[in-house]
Amino acid sequence: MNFYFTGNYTTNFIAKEYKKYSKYNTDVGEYCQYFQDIIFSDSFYNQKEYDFTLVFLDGSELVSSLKNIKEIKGHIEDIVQKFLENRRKGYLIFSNVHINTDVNSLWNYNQSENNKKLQSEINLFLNELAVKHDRFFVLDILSIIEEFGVKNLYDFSTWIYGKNRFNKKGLKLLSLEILYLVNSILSKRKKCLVLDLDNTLWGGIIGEDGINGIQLSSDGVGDIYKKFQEEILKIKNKGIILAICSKNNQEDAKEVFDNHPFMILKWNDFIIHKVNWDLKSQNIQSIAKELNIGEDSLVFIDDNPMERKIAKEQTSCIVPEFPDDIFNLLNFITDVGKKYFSIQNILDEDINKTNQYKENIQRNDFERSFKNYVDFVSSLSVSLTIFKNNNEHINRVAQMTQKTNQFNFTTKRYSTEDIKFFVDNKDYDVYTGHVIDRFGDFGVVILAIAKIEKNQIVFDTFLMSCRVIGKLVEDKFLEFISKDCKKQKIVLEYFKTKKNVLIESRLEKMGFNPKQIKDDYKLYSIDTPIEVDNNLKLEVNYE
Amino acid sequence: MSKIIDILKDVLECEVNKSTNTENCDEWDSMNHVNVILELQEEYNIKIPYEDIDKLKSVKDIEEYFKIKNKK
Repeated sequence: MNFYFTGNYTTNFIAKEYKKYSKYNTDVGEYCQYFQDIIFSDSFYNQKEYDFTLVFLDGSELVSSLKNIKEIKGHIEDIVQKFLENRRKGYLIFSNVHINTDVNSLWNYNQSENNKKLQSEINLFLNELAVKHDRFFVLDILSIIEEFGVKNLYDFSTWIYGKNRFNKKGLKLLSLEILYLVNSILSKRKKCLVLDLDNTLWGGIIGEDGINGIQLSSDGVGDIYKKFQEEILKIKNKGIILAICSKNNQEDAKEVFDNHPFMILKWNDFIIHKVNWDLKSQNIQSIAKELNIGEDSLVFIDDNPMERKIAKEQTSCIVPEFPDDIFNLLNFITDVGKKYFSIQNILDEDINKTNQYKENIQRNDFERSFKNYVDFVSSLSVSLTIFKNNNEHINRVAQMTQKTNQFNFTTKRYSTEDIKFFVDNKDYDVYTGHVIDRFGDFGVVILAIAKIEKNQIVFDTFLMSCRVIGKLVEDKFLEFISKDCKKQKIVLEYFKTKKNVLIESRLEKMGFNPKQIKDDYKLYSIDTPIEVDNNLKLEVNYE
Repeated sequence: MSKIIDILKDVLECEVNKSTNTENCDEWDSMNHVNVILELQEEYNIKIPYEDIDKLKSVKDIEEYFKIKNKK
């Protein structure tokens, strides 16, 4: 099995922790590339099969980069729909979002109340999508954060240093949560739903409250139980066997089924009725025997924690935690239905769904679809400011040569003295680029050190921070240099390392000619000036 | 000292000795440096402030750092 981790912060650390619990292959997306990866069918990600794609969205980042709730919903729905369209197989998992109370979104200032509202609106939307789409699931990070607290789980210094969100404890809890969710998705479809009666199918205790005293109606709390029964009926209609397992007198229980006006489930909807005073664990065992199925094909729902504990210990049936708050009963049963009784791997249905998604796309007013990659990048309002031999950038340039591994053609490490030499020497030009887009200011992130020769320039160093990969900044940067240098040719060296394999074919797309010198050494050359795609709207300034 | 080396071996998944640093160890890149910091915080139950992260780029640095911390 293959896993893919991505998101709007660094997910490598989550993936690394998760590997301790799972033997499967784990790939990690480039920083912040989740949108491009999933949306475009020709992305690197979309060339490979993944059983699970996990997208981690930090709520605080999300609301400070997107304009309003409508845009956030559109962003999320774009991803989900394109995933389902581009991929016939595999599951998409989104973490639900947590927004720090002190975050200023672009459209609200200092309003923690608003952030809470926004957070629940986003999460509700994620849940709605999960109910709608069989292959989309939500990883409940929020409940972990609420239980253990931001201060105990987040790590603030490595957040600034490398956009890592969680400390060791947080990473561990998160990995376990992923493991549970993945296992429940993979677990085989269960065959039988075993239900308690009192405080489960209705509120109250029939033996004490009597048929007129129990809560079951079309309004108030009683309505929750009625709707709960409706959901169970839906599960039954998918071909699942229902059974009763309740400590009660049978005639009391049966009277409710026969005479209560709001009972949705009928006595005969249940194949087996274990209404007695025996141990529930024994009843569960005999249900499995009578149906001739394994105990692990049974899902047992009971409001009583003692009964659940005994059932868990004495049998191998599935015992989901019953919600403490009755208002969560519907979410609970939807979740159970999805986890244990959903029908997966039905290709025809998936194909039909795909058509539905296509219709949805036309209907949704917040849908923005991009014709192609250049279109997408143009929508980011990227602006690139280019500097030549700028003294103020010397420290940053040295730092970049030290730190950058992935988008780095020669991986030569330099000190500030080395860089100062290049800046002052008239045989070299040091080009730097500062990048801003609608998501933020990335600072000085792209660098070329060019050796000036008679008819050509040769790049001693060409590198870019991985934070801006995918914005096509490098295209415009090279175009600018090709015009600025006033030579006939640009030559670029490429030394292959373990980390920079991804960029090997990058230049060929731009029209560079490769020449293989050695196994791990190539020379690229191109005649000047370079012209990039006319449709690319990316502002370039020169200072 | 040996505990620090053990932690680093564990995180970097490579050979580590007392002269290992970010310059001479390929595995100890900026990504793994975050893992190193997280692990040290967990093992020694401290919070390493942002300003200190870049000061811990060799076995020696880390050893010194914790010596000073312990004296305080």
